Amino acid sequence: MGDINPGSVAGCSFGGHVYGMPITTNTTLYAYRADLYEDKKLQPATTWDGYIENAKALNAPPRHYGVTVALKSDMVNNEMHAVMNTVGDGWFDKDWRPVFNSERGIKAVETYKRLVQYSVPGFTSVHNDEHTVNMGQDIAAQGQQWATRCASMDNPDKSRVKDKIKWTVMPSGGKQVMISDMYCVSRFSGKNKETLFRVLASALREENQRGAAALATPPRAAVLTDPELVAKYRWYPAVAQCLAIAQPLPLLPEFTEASELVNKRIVQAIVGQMEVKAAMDTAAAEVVALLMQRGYYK
Amino acid sequence: MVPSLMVMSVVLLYPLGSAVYFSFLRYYLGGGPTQFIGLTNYSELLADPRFWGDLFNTFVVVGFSVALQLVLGMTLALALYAATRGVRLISLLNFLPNVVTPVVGAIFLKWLFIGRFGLLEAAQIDGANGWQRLRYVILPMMKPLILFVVAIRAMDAFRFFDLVYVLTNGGPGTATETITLFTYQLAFHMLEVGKASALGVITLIIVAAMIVAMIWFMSRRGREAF
Repeated sequence: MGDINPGSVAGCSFGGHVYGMPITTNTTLYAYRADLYEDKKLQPATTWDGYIENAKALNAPPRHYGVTVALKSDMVNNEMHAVMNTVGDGWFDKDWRPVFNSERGIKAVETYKRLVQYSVPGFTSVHNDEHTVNMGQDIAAQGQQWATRCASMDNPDKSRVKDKIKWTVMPSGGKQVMISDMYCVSRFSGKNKETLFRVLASALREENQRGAAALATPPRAAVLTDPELVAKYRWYPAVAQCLAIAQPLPLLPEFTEASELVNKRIVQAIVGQMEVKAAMDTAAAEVVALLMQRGYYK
Repeated sequence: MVPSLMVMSVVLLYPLGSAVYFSFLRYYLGGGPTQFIGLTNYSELLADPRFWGDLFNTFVVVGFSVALQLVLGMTLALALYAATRGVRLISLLNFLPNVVTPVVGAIFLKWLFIGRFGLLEAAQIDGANGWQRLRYVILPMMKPLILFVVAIRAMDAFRFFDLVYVLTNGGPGTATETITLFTYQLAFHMLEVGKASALGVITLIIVAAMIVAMIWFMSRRGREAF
């Protein structure tokens, strides 16, 4: 257990109990064009203001843009998680009351509202694939990218910027999104403990994790820091660094439904359809109504 | 008749009946008891500005797409009528991709171009110009066909989903969301099967009312020139 990334295990846990083992994991990284940064004598940003300044400095429409932002459907909470956790106070308090509409939460959304001025247009229709294409096809200078998308950046069949992208942690200490794909240990799967153990042990074996390393992010530190693999997948050190500070999305069973409501309001705020505060207050009211209906806040 | 009725019952009537039944329930797939709540799903939806915004978007899509399809289709049909060479080949190529509609279309074309050709010829002999033939002969003759096409295309346009889903997923916010996308979001993202069913029933009522209104409007003007 000690070799498995603790954040990935946290993503498989609820109420202090571990309900699954992470077979693969994923997190987002700050991807940037090292060549363009060097030309403009820029450094990877350590603050959100710096991130926006870098995007502004490298923004040269209509061919090149400072940043790629993905705000289509469920990408909104993935994209916003880092800023909501660092500029804001996260999504919920310990009693599952929304805090994304607090003063700091509003500042987090306003931060993205400033950032998207330098984004590749159409960001509300951008999901993972378009997001990756924006980096790989030399359209955007920086962006928040999933670790599993890094390989395509260095694939000459898919990328025009092979070896030109570097990766680091998101500004202000990261706390960016992470997810885990896991084998769930349930009452049903736990019936045959011997078979279950063998399935988990086999999936988590170093050898098997190495075999899948080209396609997924291994949760085992021994694999992620393996010198042979690090030489092959040069983004691995950044992935290890990011995994150490990443945070799973709120472990609320209703989070998918709640985020469905919040995401729409965040996008409405960012594109100016609503005032930021009004949008976030509306989202908070909608989420409270939803969670109340689901039996929270008794 | 009986086999058809059985198939219709399984694939149409049963799902429809289920949807109507579910629409009166608080039916959340995520868990919790399923309760009978009468018309609450309907009243909640009708009080939701998102529903009205989506309905407006849907009518915009239906209005524009049906108008565009009708005008382009009519222009193409008239061009085919005016053409003297290769009409059969062009007609064949034009209708080949369709599965059902060509048969229906061909029947109407047959009526228009062959069976009633005498009317057009008579109008031409009487000195009617191209516009007058279109206005007073062709369009009135085609009125049932136009009604049929508008009704079919409007029903089809009301189901508009795939393009919006892929392009914008209803965003930004709900700016491009249609009724069908809202139904999908309710059922498969929010897991609110009861409310999604109510929205489906409301959609059915709106489409049925729209088609009835269209038929009424067209038949009201039955004796007038189109």
